Amino acid sequence: MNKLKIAIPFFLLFLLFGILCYELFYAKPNELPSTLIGEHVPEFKLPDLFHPEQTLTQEKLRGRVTLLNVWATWCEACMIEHAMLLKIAGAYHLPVYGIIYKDNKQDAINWLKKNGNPYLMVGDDSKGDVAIDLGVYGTPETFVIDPDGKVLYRQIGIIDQNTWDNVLYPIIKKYEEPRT
Amino acid sequence: MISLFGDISLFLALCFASLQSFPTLIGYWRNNRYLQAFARPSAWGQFICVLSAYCLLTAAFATNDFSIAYVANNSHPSLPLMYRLTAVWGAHEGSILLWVLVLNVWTIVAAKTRDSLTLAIFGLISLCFLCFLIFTSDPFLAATTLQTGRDLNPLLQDPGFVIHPPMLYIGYVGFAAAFAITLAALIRGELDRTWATLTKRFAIAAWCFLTLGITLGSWWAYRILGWGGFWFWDPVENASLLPWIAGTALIHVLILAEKRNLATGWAALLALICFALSLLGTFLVRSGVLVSAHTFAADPARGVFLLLLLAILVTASLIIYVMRLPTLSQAKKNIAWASRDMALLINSALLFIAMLTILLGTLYPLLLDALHLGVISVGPPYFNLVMAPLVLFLMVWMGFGPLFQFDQPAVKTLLPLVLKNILLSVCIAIAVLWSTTNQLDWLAVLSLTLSCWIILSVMKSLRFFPSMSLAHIGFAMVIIGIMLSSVLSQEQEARVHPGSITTVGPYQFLFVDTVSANGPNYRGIRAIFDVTKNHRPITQLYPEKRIYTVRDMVMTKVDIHPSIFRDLYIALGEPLNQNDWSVRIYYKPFIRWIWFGGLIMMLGGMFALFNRKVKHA
Repeated sequence: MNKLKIAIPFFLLFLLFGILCYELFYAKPNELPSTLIGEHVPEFKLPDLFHPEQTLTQEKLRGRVTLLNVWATWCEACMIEHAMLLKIAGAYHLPVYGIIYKDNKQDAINWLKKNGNPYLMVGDDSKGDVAIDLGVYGTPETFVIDPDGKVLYRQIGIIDQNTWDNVLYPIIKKYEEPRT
Repeated sequence: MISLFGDISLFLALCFASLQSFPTLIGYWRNNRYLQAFARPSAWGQFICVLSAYCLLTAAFATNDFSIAYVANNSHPSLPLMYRLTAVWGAHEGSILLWVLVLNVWTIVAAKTRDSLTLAIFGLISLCFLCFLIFTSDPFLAATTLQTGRDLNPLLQDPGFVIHPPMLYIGYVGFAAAFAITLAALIRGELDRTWATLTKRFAIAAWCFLTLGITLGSWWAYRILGWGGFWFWDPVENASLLPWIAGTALIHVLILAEKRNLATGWAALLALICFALSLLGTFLVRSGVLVSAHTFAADPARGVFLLLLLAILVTASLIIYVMRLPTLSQAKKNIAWASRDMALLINSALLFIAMLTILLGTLYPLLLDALHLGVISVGPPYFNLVMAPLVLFLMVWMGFGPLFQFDQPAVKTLLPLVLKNILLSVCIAIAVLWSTTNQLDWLAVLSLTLSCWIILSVMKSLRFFPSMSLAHIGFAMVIIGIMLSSVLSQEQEARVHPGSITTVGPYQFLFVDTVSANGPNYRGIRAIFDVTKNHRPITQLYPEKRIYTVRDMVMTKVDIHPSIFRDLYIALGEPLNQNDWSVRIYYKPFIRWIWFGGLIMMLGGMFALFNRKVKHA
C-alpha cells in the first residue's frame, strides 16, 4: 500500500510528460482554423476598382475554384507576393479576384498599371467592412474558394512558390482535375 | 573567425562541465577527496569559457558579423548599438546561451559554499543545457546565404527589453541554486538548519531578481503592446509567475525550517518544485506547444530535448526525495493554532494552491487538445475568476501572520489589536476612495481594506524586520494598483482631426497635428496632443505610428504621462483619411503602484540578503 502511494506522483508526472510529448508532435498552435472553412463566403458587394459601375459579389466567385486575395499598396509584403499572383493567373489559369483593403483608389490603379494586374476584378474595400466579415488578420491574405462558393482554405501571409506547390496547388488540383 | 572561436569555447565549456560533475560524483561515492577537488576549478573554467562565448557573440553583433546566421537573423546595420548588444538574447539560440551564462554565474556564487556535491549537481544541469545549446541551437552556426540582416523584432526595441530578460533569467535560473543545494543535502541526508539558511539566502536572491524581471516585463507590455494592459495571463507570463509563487511559498516555509526546524521535508519538496517549474517554463516558452504573444520559432527537436531533460531532472530528484524522506521524518510536533508557525504553513498551502490553479489553466488547452476535446484557449476570465478569491483569502491571512508569535497561540491578547486594525483599514479605504473618486465600488473597498490591513499589520515590525515588512507592503501596493486601476480606469476610442478635443476622465486631449518622425531603422508619424485639466495645461503627448522597414512591421509607439496617482496613455490608431485618425486614450489611476509595489517587494528581499547583521545584533 505504501509503495502504491509512492508510485502516484511518478504516475502523474509521467502522464504529464506523455501529454507534453504528444502535444509537441501533434499540436499545431500556429494554425488558426478559420470559422469560414467549409462555409459559404459571406455576402458582400464592392465596386470594381476600374469600373465602379460593376460590382464584385460572392456570386462572381462561383463556377470554378477561385482565389480571393486581400491586399493593399501600402503593404510591402503584398509587393513580394504580387509576382506569384501574376504567375498563378498567367501560368495556372486560375481566376484570381482581389479585394483592396483600406487604400487610396488612384494609388491602387496606378500600382496595378505599373506592376501588372493578375486580378479579374478588384473590389474596393476602402472602409475595410468586407475584410471584417471575412475575418481578415492582415494583408496579404488569400482565400481558396471552391466552385460552390465555399471557402476551402485560408492562407495568412504571402503565397510563395513553396506554399503554392505544397499547400494551395494540391487543394486546388482535387477540384479542378475532374472538370478538365 | 568569431564563429569558430565561439564553437571552441562552447565545446571547452562542455568538457569542463563534465569534469565538474562526474569525477566529483565518483569522488563522493568513493569518499575520495582528491576527485571531489575537481569541482571548483572546473566550475571556474566552465564559467570563463561560457563567458568568452557570450562575449564573442556580443562582439559579432557589435561588429555586424552577418556571416553568423543568428546575427543575420536578428540584427541590421541600421539598428542602434544598444539594441544590437541586447539583440544577443533577442531570439532562441542567444537566450539559451544567456541561460547557461546565468547558470554559471550562480555556480560561481554557490562555489563559495565549498560544497563539491552541490557543484556537481550544478555541473550536471549545465552539461544538459550545453548539450542542448551545442547540438540543437548553436548560436555560432554559419549563415548559408550572405545577407544584410533581418533586424531585431521591433517589439523588442525598447529600453524595457534591455534589462527584462537577463533579470528574469537570473531569477529563473537562480532557483537552480536552491535546487542543487537541497538535492545535495538530500543525498547526504542532512536537512538541517545550515541547509535551511543557505537555501533561503539563494532562494531570496533568485526571488528578488524574478520579482524585478516580472515587474519589468509587465511594464514593458504596458508600454509596448499598446493595449494599456499590464498582465495578459499569457502562457509565457504564467511560466514566469509559477516559479515566483512557488518561490514565495519556499521562502516562507524555509523561515519555519530555519527558526523552528519544522516542515523541512515540505521545504525541500518546494525547492525541487521551484526549479522544476523554471524548467517547465523554459520548455513551454521554447518548444512552442502553446499559443503565446511571445512568438518564437518552434522546432520539435528542441522541444523533445528539453522535455527529456525536464523528465530526467524531475524524476531523478523526486526519486531521491522519496527515498530520503522516511529517514528525515522528524518527531511530530503539534503546531499551535493561531501561531506564526501555523500562519506560515497556511500561507504556503494557499500559495501552492494558487500555483496549481495557474498551472492547470496554462496546461488545460494542451490537455484538452491531447484528448481531442477541441481547441480552446484559457484566458483572463478564468484566471481572474479563480485567482481573485484565492488572493483575497491570502490577504486576510497576510494581515494576521505578522501579528502572531512563534509557537504561542495568543488569540485573546491580539483581539483588540485585530479589531482596531480592521476598523482603521475599513475607514481608511472608504475615506481614500470617497475623496478621490466620489464612488464606492464594493470590490475596490474590499481590496483596499485588505491592503490597508496588511500594511497596518507590519507597521510595528518595520524597524525590526524591514525585509518582511517591505515585501508585504509591496504586495499590498501591487494589489492596490491592480484593483484600483481596473475599477477606476477610463478609456475612449475616438476619431480625431486637428483641433478636436476628446475628454477622458477629468482631462481634455486636444489633437494639434501630425508631423513625420523618422528614426535610424524606421519611418513614422508623430501626433501631437495638448493635455489640459480645467483649462490648466498639463503636458504634451506624442504618440507615434512606426513602420520598421526591414521587417515591414507596423508598430504603435504609445506616449504616457506618468504620475503617482494616474497615468495618461495615448495610442495612435489607424489613419482614417487625410486628416482623421483613430486614437485610443486611457486614463489609468494608480497603475504605477503595480510596478512600484513590485520594486518595494524586491527591496524587501534585498534587505533580507544584506541586512543580516541587524538581526544578529
